[in-house]
Amino acid sequence: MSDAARGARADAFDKHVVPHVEVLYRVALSLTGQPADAEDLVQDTLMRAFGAVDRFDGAYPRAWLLTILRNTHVNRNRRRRPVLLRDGESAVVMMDRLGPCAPASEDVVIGNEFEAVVADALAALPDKHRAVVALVDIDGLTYQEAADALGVPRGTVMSRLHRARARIRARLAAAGTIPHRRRM
Amino acid sequence: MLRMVLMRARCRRSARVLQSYLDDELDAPTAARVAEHLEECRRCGLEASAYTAIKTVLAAGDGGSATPLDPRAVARLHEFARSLTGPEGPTATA
Repeated sequence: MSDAARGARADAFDKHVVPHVEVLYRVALSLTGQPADAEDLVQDTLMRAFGAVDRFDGAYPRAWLLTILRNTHVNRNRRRRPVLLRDGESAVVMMDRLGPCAPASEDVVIGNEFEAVVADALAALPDKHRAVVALVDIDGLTYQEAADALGVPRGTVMSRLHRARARIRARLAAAGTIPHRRRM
Repeated sequence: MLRMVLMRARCRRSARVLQSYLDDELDAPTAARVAEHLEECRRCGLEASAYTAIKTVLAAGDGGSATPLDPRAVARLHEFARSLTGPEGPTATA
């Protein structure tokens, strides 16, 4: 590779990839649940992005990087735990079987009943629903970015997210923290 | 009576897209219609407030699942990124 090509690749990497390191790490934490695994996953993702950035057209870098992150995550799990990813099984099904995405912190200071109920409701969600809540509400991804990160259609992200929030809302209503939902 | 039926229809339309509205995922005209309805309908406005509170608590990490970013880990990742583009970095990984 010539010096000029190497320089162009480095420039593209600095422009399209480096600004997204934090969000990649956030999403990796949501996917792996382990800080050390998340850091390794982001390093692998950065390596792959560096290798491919000269072919990247510059459109929607975050979506492009999240797709690389997801593929890297799936490949790493396939390599480490071959029995977990069966032929034809999607990354999401595999991730569901890997267990909770992020263990609830033991040292969370719960300020009031509302927050306590939300925490309980979040913990009680099915894993795949909690993963979507983590990506959208906690990591701040758009529906499409969450879809890219999980490898599912945007509509699936929406239905899981909306169902998850409705469950949290129902818990709050049951606890008397907010009014019950009225019929339309 | 007609006024109430029309209002109910607007409530149903608003409820269908409320989550997307709160996530800023609607086109501008639809978002404007929802915003207008939430101002005129107290019950839908309260519903929106409830979900906004849920989103706020989750985003603040008080829901118990958010892991604050370790600044040392972020610094190591930036250092790693710099090592890729520096003179000692890989030249043609694909």
